[in-house]
Amino acid sequence: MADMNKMSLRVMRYNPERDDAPRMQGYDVPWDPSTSFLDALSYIKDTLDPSLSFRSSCRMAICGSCGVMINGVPKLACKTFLRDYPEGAAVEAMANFPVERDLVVDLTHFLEYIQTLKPYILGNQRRPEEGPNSQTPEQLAAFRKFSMCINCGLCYAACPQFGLNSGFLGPAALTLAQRYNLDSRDFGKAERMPHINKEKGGVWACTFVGYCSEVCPKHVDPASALQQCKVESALDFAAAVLNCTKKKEAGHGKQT
Amino acid sequence: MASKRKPYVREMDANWWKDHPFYRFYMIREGTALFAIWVSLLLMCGMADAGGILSVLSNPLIILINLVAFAAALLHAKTWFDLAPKAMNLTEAQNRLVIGGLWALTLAVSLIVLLVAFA
Repeated sequence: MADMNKMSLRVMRYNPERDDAPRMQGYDVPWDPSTSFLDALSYIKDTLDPSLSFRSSCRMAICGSCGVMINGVPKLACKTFLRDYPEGAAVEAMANFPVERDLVVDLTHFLEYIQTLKPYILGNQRRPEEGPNSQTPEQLAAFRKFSMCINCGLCYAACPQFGLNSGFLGPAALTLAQRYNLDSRDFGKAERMPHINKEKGGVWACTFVGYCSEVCPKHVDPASALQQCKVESALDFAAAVLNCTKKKEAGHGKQT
Repeated sequence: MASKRKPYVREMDANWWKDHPFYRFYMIREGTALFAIWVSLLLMCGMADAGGILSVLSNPLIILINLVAFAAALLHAKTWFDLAPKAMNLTEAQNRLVIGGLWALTLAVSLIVLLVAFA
């Protein structure tokens, strides 16, 4: 370790018991081409400053815990390497979320929105003794890309609409809604559409900035899912208008 | 024990887009709408006073603005066509077909308009 090259990192620090606002603190971290930002943060915590707080778990880009901003770009710390930042880098807490402490953010909104949209199979009456639900490769391909989400929240850190309006259901939650709406085994669309259609926090708060798809570490392409949600929402609206007209006509029929 | 929590909210100001190339390009993309309004206004003026508009259109400043508006329209078309297939859940090959089709349609309509205008 001692003879390794050192890189200067600036890390966001915020202690809610002492600080009024986050500040940046510099650390010199030894590195080689295999050192990830998560390795660097662990080194700081283990050797330089045990008070540093950050989240992590799997260190292999599947748990989605270690999302941070690296030079202002949302990244998974475990999937981003110091070798790509020869000039050093700034590590900050994920944008658009309240900072609890150092690099730890409050994900409550994000988690509640996922729950709101019921991302699980609904209304399927098939019983276990009837065997598994079969699906054609085409039916699987329709939603497979959107099912790769690891709920890391990087797309929320990339979404200015979520930053400006924390009531927006946001990229990942709406993508999961679309993933289940597209699933041939699911019959829960009618339960999800009222949330998707909502005027303030629904899919129409999205203005297709598209940065969510750019930063997604799993290439889920949430921007695409949200545009499909908009098509569904528009069709749902048209159907509601038609049904309303039909009901009115039926109502008139009864009166006369 | 009372909670020691004090979550810090980083407020976004009106300049949130200025420091990031991706957001700057997004603002330019959305900004092309202003030139669409400009061209629409010119067209409406032309419909109200077909003779008068010709002298306005030959003004060098208007020509310059219209050249910028043309570039803006091309940028708008490029970005819009690239995004259009995303709303359709298609394969990569089908995406390219849709984008190509939209460009072919644009070229065809432009050619017909030019032929009608200059024939």
